[in-house]
Amino acid sequence: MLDTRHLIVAAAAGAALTSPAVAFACGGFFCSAQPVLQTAERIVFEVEGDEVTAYVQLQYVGDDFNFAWIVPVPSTPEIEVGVGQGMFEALDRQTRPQFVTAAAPGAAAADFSAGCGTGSFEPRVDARYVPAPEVDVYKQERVGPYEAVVLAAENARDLNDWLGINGYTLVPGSDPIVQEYLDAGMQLVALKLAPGEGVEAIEPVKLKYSDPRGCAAVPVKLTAIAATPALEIVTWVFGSSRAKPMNFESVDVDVSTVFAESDYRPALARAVNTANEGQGFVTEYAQPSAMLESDGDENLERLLRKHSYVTRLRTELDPAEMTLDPEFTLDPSLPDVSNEIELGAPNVAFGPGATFGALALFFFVRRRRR
Amino acid sequence: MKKLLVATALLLLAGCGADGLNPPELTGISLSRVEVRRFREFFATAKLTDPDADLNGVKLEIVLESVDGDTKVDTTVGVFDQDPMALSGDVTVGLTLSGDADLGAYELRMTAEDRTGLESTPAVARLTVEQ
Repeated sequence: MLDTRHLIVAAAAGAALTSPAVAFACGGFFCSAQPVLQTAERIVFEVEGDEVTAYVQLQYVGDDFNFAWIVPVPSTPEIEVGVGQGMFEALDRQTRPQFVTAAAPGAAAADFSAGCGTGSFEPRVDARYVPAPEVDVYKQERVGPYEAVVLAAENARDLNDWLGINGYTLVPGSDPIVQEYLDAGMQLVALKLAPGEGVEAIEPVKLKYSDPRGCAAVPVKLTAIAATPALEIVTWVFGSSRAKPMNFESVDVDVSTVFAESDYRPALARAVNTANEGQGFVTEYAQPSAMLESDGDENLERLLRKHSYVTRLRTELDPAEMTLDPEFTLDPSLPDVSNEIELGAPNVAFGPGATFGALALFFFVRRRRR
Repeated sequence: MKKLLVATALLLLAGCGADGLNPPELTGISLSRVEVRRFREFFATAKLTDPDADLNGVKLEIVLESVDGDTKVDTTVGVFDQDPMALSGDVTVGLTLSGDADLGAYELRMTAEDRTGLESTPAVARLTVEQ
């Protein structure tokens, strides 16, 4: 039986291999610039029974801080700040792919240059009358640099209008997706920077809530509204054993096609595209937690002590493929995976079939080391 | 009978139920954000009072004009879904500026016109168009 207790999922959009000149974020992070540049949101979900704690790193580079970050939750969460950045950085640094042979740096940078367009036509103003939105506001508070609200409604339009009127800037077109979440009985957490706070004040947030399914999901459906093509999502799962996606396929990178570090991302994209509707995850790292160091970060230290295993999964999604929120569970029958990639090597590290032999060798070596 | 006459007189003095006696009022206008971007909706909310009739059917005229006067756009929208018994309530409009509008400082003027054509004085808010 799959053990979903003590499950932690850390998700990061934006990847280790891409340029650091990024903006933000996945997981329903809307802003007033479009398309939203999303590469650096990271989420850690900790699931213990029906209690879920999500640590969310928000990063933003840009000139428009009038954004709203929206995430669906199954119940009213406690919202805190003060998590710090160290946990996310340490996790990413230690679990991203390591290439054995020196290679030319820099994966191809995505073209994030698109914009709203200047519109070469006569200026105009359009108006619509907005009846008083009918919403249920469960919580509204100041949390660190953010103003936060937790709310639900029967109609997504009411909810989005309420957010808009109250200064949460949303990207048009989210109504159908928000409606799906509302129909599923979920609430939405909305965060925005409080007046007087700049983007330099953005810091990770911690959400703790009850989820009767005891399941961790990365809310990418909302991300589709403003995401750029080929958005990378990196997901870490901490638990008692290796994790796997529940509703996405597990796919493998053909590392025999990776002759330089810059070949890796295209190879990953090809692997993901073999999955049905491009909904797949590559397992890049799966090791006991003891293999990682906390780098002095208290939060990571606690998590590493509490949970015995870490899995890093990664995907690359186009907006059209963000029709499901990836969910993760643990499967103790799955073997370890190294994040070490030998450039130009036969497909042994990630490939199906031959993978087993390599993993067996890996286990052998590790046991000998002990 | 005497009480009825007094009540009627009071109602007439207050203008209740007598269309066309008093212009509507728009007060306390506020914006969801004061730095807006073209093609992005923002919201303006004000308190509408119309002692003559219920608020439904009142027209809101919105003028958005750059401070330098180079850009001036306007539109109208009707009020609905208000409590028919209420003579006062908040009205909100979602506004989207598009096209080759100048960037910079703007003035938003919103005026209410009741069904008899009486107009309120404009409620005014200032904003900046950033992009």
